[in-house]
Amino acid sequence: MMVRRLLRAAAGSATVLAFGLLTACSATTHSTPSAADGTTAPTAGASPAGSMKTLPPSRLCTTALTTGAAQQLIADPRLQTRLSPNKGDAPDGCSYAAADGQSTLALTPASRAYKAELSAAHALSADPASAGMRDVRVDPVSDLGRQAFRETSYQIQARQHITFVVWNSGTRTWVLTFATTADTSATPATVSDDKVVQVARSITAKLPAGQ
Amino acid sequence: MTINGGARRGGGSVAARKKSLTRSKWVGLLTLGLAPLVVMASPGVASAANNVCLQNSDGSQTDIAGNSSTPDKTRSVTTQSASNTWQDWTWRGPTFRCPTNVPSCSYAWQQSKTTSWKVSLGLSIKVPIPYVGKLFDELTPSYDRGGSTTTSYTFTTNLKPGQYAQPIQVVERRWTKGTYVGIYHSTGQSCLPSPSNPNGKAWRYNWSPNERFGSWTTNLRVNDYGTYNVYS
Repeated sequence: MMVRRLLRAAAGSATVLAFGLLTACSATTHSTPSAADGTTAPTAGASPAGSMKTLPPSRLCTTALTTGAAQQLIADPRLQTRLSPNKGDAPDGCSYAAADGQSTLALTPASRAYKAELSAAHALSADPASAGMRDVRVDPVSDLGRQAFRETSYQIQARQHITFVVWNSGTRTWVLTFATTADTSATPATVSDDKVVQVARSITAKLPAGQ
Repeated sequence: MTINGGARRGGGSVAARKKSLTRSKWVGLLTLGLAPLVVMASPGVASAANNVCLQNSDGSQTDIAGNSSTPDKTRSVTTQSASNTWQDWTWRGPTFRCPTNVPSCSYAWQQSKTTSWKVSLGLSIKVPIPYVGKLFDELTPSYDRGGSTTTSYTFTTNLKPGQYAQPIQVVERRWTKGTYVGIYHSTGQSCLPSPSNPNGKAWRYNWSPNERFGSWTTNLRVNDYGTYNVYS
């Protein structure tokens, strides 16, 4: 048996930084080779063929960045399915996307110490082109963990405003990323009015402690 | 494809009557890949369920396996499977690297990728008897079948600064061994040929439904999914 599937047009390439145009997850299809008359041959049975290798939702989605928290930034947030790597490790994380894919929100533990993250942010500010960005700005944030900063930027290829809020909760460093599609860069809101910062403040007490 | 005449043949007086010379001849023909034989049940010939009139295009009366043109059909069954599977990466997408000077990356694939695959890898068939047409192509799991898989990468993963990610399509395969069940044994009695081939010779055959013969091995496809590899 041979089933042909048309190659659907690539609807946007892999995003470069932060988030791409996430849309509703579409099921994948594929053909199963028939096994003779199907008597006992163990054809695909363990899991749906042609599927994606996925992980269960992160606990961060149920304890900290809940749908309710995400709604502060995205009107109708959709929890994003996590892919499971075939080889290597990927950090934990919880992601939501708007129904139209124009906005995305993610929470993940930082892979570096807070000091290193702050240093990297200043380095990016000095050389935004190295990450395909422009208008990179780093601002301190108060009343969020022990230390916090906000990093705003515009990603040229993906045409996205990206806001990172990075903070040290005492035992760990966290990154909250909000990206939204826009044709041009714009002046970011003041830190005190920034909703991404407000979401970070609202969830920080619910984050797991320890490494 | 490997053809081997060493497989077990079921007992029975009819099978015992078969001459090794005839078998050797057929094995030789198979090895040379001659044109498939045609077997059909002769219409209009009354037969008991276990005794039918069949006709080979060359008039031979050697044992044959049942296929779609015979009343009964030979089946393939699995007799042994490896405990482990192995991965066949059928597609690799472009590699993306998360910049080192950002706190985090979230990588989303929104490409749809169709991957063609071929599943006849590592297949060998051991057939001790003549076969009909491409019967064993039909009978052997995954033999010489192709297909395609479409994967939509609309999923996300987080990446650490500096990490590389590459989407891939994986087909998991498992080494599997099996045999065929069901065979027609010639009785040596002639019968009326088919009207469509009146000059041919037809012979009566007894169907042995549970008799096992031959063997096959293949790397059977057991799973198929999209994922990605992460490199640091």
